[in-house]
Amino acid sequence: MEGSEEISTLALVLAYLLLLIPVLLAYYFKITIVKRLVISAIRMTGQLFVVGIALIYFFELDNNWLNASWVIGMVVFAAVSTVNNSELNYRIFLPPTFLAFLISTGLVLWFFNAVLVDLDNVFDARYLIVIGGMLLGNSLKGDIIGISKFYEDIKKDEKRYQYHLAMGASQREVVVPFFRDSMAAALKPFIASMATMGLVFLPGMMTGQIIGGEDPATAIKYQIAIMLAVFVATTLSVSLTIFITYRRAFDSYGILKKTIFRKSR
Amino acid sequence: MSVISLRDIEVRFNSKHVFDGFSLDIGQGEKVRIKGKSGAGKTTLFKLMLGFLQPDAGEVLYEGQKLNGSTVWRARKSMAYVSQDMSIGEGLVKDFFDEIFSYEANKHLQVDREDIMKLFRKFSLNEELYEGRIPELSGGEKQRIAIVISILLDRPVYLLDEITSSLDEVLKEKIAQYFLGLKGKTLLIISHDRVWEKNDVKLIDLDNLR
Repeated sequence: MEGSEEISTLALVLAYLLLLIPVLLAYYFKITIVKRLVISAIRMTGQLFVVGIALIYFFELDNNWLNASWVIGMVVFAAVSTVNNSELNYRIFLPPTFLAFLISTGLVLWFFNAVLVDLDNVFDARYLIVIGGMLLGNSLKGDIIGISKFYEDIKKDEKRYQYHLAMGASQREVVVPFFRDSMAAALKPFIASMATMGLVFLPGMMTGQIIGGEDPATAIKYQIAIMLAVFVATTLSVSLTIFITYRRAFDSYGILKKTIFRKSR
Repeated sequence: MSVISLRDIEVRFNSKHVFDGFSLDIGQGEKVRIKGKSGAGKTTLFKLMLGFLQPDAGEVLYEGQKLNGSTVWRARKSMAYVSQDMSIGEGLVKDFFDEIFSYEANKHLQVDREDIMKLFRKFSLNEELYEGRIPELSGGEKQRIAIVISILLDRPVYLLDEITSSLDEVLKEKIAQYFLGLKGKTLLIISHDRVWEKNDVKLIDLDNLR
């Protein structure tokens, strides 16, 4: 099996030069994204270099505890990012969101490594960290959509919410329709991307494996497995996040606490 | 014993007092009309009774029990609430009925389609609307659907907030007659419509309390 072609430092510099095209367009059309674009590109470069260097050591050491700690670290970042992007209160939402990601990613990751790939060591760095990152990165997007929509809708549609309480709905009964809408919104992009996969774009994991010299048939099987795993992890993480957080988000009268949203709103 | 009591209620919105030491007792089977200028606190009263708003001071009692996080759920199951300003969702009318009557609190009612249709006919709602979509209904139709649901819920207390506001005179009269004719039910009506002005309906004018 041949490895992928090396990208030289000079070639990487050339890749950055490609950024000149959007920068020039932004200047021409007076789109104020240049500063953010530059900061994001610098952040991306820094983060990936640090991660790259760390991964070299992690792969060399391949210590189960270290690998598990790395995944837990990623779960913390995913939880922080979800709560931050949903503009919800950190104190109320961070612990349950962390727990929801930990359970959903942990379960699906175990199933992927132990059952689907049938690894001797489910903590193998190449699988635990890489697949864990893919699961978290993708379910993070769904979680942000799902949890934001759930609480935003209840806040925006307070009259409908209260009407159903007045009709005798229990706390669980009254949130079910909002939960249904949030799940649908969170999963819609995944369903759409599954339906167009291969036709519109070749997904990252498969592309990486093929460039890395892997047989396309194996790459496709991995891609299918990872897509299904991402879908399940997203479904689990969104439902668990809402399930664990919703009791803390309402007072004993069943009314949404105003303090669940960050004050900056 | 009073069904609903408000004791020394104080409610402030941004330092403005809506209620300051307000008390009220509603007896079982009483029919009470509440009126007052906009901002006088008419809807706030209903919100307090339903536990959607908690007073800054004072207490709300339902059948002698103080309304709190555990008693409010039982109290809500004893009240039927209809408001001019409510949101009944965006799906099918039929699904809306199904959802409400699928709640644990309402399952025992065993409402069937004929029960619903009888009330549709009574309040001049086209029967075909039952299969239609909520966003396609007019304001008056939505209001009458909420009225039909409240009647089917058959609760001991009715909280009716401007329920005849979007209706023509004939329907206003018909609906007022229906509710005022209910025996043994406690009615609290927020309305400026004259159709509710009857001898046996007690009037509370919030403007005169200040």
